[in-house]
Amino acid sequence: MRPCDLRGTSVLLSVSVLFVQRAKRVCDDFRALDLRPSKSNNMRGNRRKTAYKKTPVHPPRSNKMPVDQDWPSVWPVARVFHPASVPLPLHQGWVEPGITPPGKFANAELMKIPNFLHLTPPAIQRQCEALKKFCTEWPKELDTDEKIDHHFPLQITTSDYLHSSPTIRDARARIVTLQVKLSTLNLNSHAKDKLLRLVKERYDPVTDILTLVAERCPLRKQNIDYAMYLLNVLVSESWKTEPWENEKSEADMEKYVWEGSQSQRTLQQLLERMPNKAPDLPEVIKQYSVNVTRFHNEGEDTENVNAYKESVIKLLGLNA
Amino acid sequence: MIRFSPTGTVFRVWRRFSSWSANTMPITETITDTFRTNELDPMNHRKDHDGCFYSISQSVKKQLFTGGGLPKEYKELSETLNGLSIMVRKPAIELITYLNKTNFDAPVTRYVLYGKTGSGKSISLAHILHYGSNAGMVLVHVPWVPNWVRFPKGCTPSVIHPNMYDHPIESVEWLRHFSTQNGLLMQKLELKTTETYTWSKREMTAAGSPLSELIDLGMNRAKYATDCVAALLGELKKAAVSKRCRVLVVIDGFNAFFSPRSKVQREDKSIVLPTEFVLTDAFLSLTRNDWTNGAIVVSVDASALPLELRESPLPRYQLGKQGFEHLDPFIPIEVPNYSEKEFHSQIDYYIERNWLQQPKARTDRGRAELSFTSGNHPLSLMKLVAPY
Amino acid sequence: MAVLRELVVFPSKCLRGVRSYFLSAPLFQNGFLKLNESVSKDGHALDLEQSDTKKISKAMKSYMERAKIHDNFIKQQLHEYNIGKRHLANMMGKDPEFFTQADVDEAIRYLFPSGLFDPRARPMMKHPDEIYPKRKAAEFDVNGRPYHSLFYTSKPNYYTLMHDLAVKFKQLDRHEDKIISRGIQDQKPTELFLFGSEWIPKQKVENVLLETLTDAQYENLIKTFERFSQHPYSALEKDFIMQFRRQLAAQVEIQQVPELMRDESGRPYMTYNTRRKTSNAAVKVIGQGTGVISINGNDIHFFQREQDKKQIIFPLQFSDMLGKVDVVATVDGCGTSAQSGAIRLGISMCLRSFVNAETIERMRLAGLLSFDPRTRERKKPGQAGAREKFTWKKR
Repeated sequence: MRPCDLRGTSVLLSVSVLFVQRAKRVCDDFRALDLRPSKSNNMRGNRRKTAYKKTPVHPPRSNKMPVDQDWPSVWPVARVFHPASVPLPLHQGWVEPGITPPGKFANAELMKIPNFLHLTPPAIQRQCEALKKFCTEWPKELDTDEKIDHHFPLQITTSDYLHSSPTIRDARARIVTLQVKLSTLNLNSHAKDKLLRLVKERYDPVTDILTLVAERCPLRKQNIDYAMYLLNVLVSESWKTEPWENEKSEADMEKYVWEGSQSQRTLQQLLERMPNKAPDLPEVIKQYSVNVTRFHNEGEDTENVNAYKESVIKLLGLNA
Repeated sequence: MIRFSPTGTVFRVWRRFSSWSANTMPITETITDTFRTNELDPMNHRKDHDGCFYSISQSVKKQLFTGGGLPKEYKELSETLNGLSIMVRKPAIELITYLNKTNFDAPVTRYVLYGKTGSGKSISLAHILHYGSNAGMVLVHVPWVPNWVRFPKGCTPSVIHPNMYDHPIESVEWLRHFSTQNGLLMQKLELKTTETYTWSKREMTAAGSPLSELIDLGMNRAKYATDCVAALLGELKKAAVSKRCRVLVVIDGFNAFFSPRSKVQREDKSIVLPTEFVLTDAFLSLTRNDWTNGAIVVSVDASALPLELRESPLPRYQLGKQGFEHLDPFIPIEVPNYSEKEFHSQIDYYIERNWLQQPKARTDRGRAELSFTSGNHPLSLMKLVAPY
Repeated sequence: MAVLRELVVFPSKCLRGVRSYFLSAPLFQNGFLKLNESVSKDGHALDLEQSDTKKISKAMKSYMERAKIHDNFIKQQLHEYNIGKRHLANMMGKDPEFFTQADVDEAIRYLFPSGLFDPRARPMMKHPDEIYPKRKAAEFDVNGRPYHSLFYTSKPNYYTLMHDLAVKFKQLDRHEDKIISRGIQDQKPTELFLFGSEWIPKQKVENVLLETLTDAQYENLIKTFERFSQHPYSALEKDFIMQFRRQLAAQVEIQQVPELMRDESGRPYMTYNTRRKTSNAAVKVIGQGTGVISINGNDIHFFQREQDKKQIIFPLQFSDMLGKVDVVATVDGCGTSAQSGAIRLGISMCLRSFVNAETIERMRLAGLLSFDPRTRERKKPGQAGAREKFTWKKR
C-alpha cells in the first residue's frame, strides 16, 4: 500500500476511536466494560489530541452524606483536612471587605490548621464510655482538700503530650515532679535544718513544700522510683548526726541565738559598769534578748526596730 | 517654674536667679509665726518647736561647719537664701531630751539616726552639733566618713601599726576642723596629755603637755597626723572619764567604716578594707561604750555603702554584723519624711524667702501637688523646688 | 463538578468587571430603603423567551444566562449552608432545629482552632448573604429598558436618596408651616436624637446602596443629611436618619460606671485592672484618704523620673482628688513609662466612681479614660526594624 492511503485510513480510525471515547464519558457513574480496549494510535498525527487527559473528577462525597450520619465513623482519626469529605461550607482567608473569602477546596490555610474533626463531643463521649471500665470511682470519704492532703501527702506530677500527628512519643513525658509538705515528715529541729541545707532552693518556705524533679532516667517509671528513693535518702540522712556537725560555728548558724552571742557579752560588760540599773533587770534583759533575736531571725522592719529601741531605752534607764 | 499643659506633659521655664542684696534677715518675728521660732538655743528646743525653723548665726556656722557637716546643696541653698535656718524636727528634739536627761556617770549611750537617703539625718546631726557646742561639750565631729573610704586623697601604709593605712591629708584637715570647732573651749579647758608619744628619734610629745601642742604637731606634720588623731581621741576619752571635759561624738555615715570595700589599693591591686585604716580603729575605739561622761550620736545611710547594699535603710542592715555588734546596744532613732505640719512649714519658709515664685505653688492645690510629687521627702522637695 | 467549578470562579470575575449587571426592584417606596437586593425579586421574569415583537440579542441572552447562573449559585450556596448547619449540629451532638449562628461559630472555633490574630482571617461558616457580596438584581428588562428612572446616572440608588432627602425636606417645611399657621405654641420642636452616634462611614453607605461612591459624593451626602437633621422637625424622620447613623462605643461604657465598694472599716474604695503595652497594673483607690500612695509597696519614688510621677498625679489633680484619696497599686512588666501609663489609666477608671458625671466627661475629653492600644510593632524581614530600612545604596 502506498503511504498516503494508510494515512487516510489511520485518520478514519482515530476519529472513530475519539467518538467511542466521548460516548464513554457521557455516563459518569459506571465505567463501561471494555474487553478489548483499542490501542490508541501513537503516530505523530494523533499524539497531540491524546496528550492531555483530564482525569474524571467525581462530585464530592459530602453531597451524598446523610444529615444524621455517624460522624466518628466518617472521620475516626486525626487527618489533614479533606474538603470533599467534610460537608461544611467553610471559608478561610483574609480578604478586603466586600470580597468573598476563598472556599474550602484547595485552601492551604484550612489544611494547615490541626483540626479536631476526630474529637467532636460525641466522639469524646464514646471514648470516655469505652475507657470507663478501666477506671475506678473516686472514694466518697475524700471530699475535702484537707482530707486528701492528710491521707495522701505525697504528690507526683507527670505530663503527657499530645501531637496532632500519629506519634505518641515525647521526650518530656519522662519528667517526674515529687512534692511533699515538710510538716508531714515529722522532723525534729536538727533533722529539718539538715534537710534544708541538703535541699537548698528546692524548698519553698512560703508554702512549706519540698519539690524534687527527677528526669535523669529515660523512663517515667524509673524516674518515679528514683524520686522516692531520693526522698527516703534525704530523710534518713537528716536524722543522722555526723561527728563533724559539732564543728558548727557562729557563721554557719541558720538562726540567731542569744546565748553565747556577742550581744550578750557586750551587755554583760555594760551592766558591770552601769551605776544605776533598771529595777526589774532580768525582765528587761529578757525583753531585750527577745527583741534582738526577733529582728535577726524574722528580718528587719520598722516595727522590730522600734521594739528594740524600747527595750534598749528601758535597759539604759532613759525613761524619765 | 513648672508648667502643666492639659495633656499632662511638663515644660520647665528656665529663669536666672539673682540673689538680692545682702540684707540680714529679720530675727524679730514672733513665735506665733507658724514656721519660725526665735528660740535660737538648741538646748531649749522642745516638742512644741516641732516644724519650726530657727536660724543659726554666721559666726556659729563658721565655727561649726567650715570643715563640713552640712550637705553641699543645703549649704549652697542657705547662702542663696541669705542665712542658715534649720528646721527643728522630732528626731533632733528626741535626741535633745535624751541628752538633757543623760546620766553622765553611766557608760556612754550610743544613738543611731537612720532613714532614707535625703530625709534629713545630716541636718539633724548639725542641730545636735550646735546643741553640743552650746552645752559646752567637746565636739568630735566627722562630717562624712565615706569621704575617707571612697575618695581618699592619698593613703600611705602606717609606720607604727603594721598592715594598716594612714590618711595623712584627711587627718590634717580633720585636726583643723576640730580646732576650729573647739578652739575657744580647748583654751578654756587646758587639757593635758597623760602619756608620752614618741613620733621619731627626735620628736616626741611629753606627758603633761597641752593637747593644743599635740594638735599643732599633727597639723604641721602630715606624716604623723593620723597617729596624732588617734592619740587625741584616746586623750579625750581619758579626760572625759576623769571628768575634765564632756565629749560629744557626732559621726555622719558611720556604716562606711564597715563597708566591704574602699578605693584604696595595695601595690598588688588588692582592695584595702576600711577596717584596716588607722582612723577607723581610732574612731571605733572612741565609739565603744567603755567610757563615761559623753554621748555618741551616729548616722547610718544607704549612700555610704556600695550600690548592692542599699536595699534597706534600717540600722541592722546598714551596719552589718560587725557594725551592729560594735554598737549594740544602741538607740535607733528614725528620721522620717516630713509630716504634714513640717511640710507646710517648709513650703512657708520657701515662700517667705521667695524661693517658690510661681504663684500657683502657693495655693492649696499647688502644695498638694508638691507634696505628692516629692512624696514628702525632704531632698526630693528641695530638688523639685529648685529652678535648676 | 465541572459546572460547580465554573460557578465558584464566576462571582469574583463579576465583581472585578462592570458592577450593575442586574436591576433592582423599585428601591425607595414610602421613603424606606430596601436593603436586600441580591436576588432578583418577583415581577421580573428573566426568561429566555423572546418578546412578541423583537429578537433578544446575543449579549442580552448571555446576560440573562449569567444572571440565572448567579441566582442558582446563590441558591445552591444557601442550600449547602443549611445542610451544612444540620451536619455540624449532628457532628457536635446538638439539636439541629435549635442550632443558631452563634452555635455554628462556636463549633467552628472548636473544630478548627486557628491561632491567627485577625478574626477575619480565621475559618468561618456563615450565611451566604454575609459571604457573597450583595449585588443588584436585574436593572433592565428583556428589551433592554431600565426599570429605574435614574438608571442612566449610573448611580440610581445614590441619586434617589439625595432626591428623597430633598423631598422630605420640603415635607418637613410644609409641616412646620402648618404648625405655625395653626398657632400651636406649645408644640416645641423635638430635641436632637443624634447624641451618641455618628454617620456611618463611606464603606457602609456603599454596602447599603450597592454602589461605589466618590469621596466628594459621600461628603455631599453627609452634608445633606446634616442639614436635614438640623431641621427643627427632623425628629419626625428619626428612623430614616438613624438608618445612616451608628452608635459610638464610648457612650455605652461611660454609662456603666461601677458602684463604690466598702471595706471593713467602712471606707469606700474602687479597684480596676489595666494594662499598657505588656505591663499589667492592679489599682485600688480608697476614699476618705490623705493622699498616701503605694506602688508595689514603695512610695511615689518607685518611679524615679519626673514624667512618670506626673503621669500618676495627672488624674488626681485633674479631678481635684489630690490629698482626698489613697492609692494602692501593684504593677509589673515592661518599662517605667508603660507601668506609669497603666497606673494612670487605672486611677482614672477608679476615680469615675468618686466624681460626678461632668468631671467624668471632662476626663474622657482629656483622654484619661481611653485605653492606649499602641504596642510594639513587629520587625519585618528585609528591614532593620519595624520601619527602619537598611541603608539604601543607589547601585
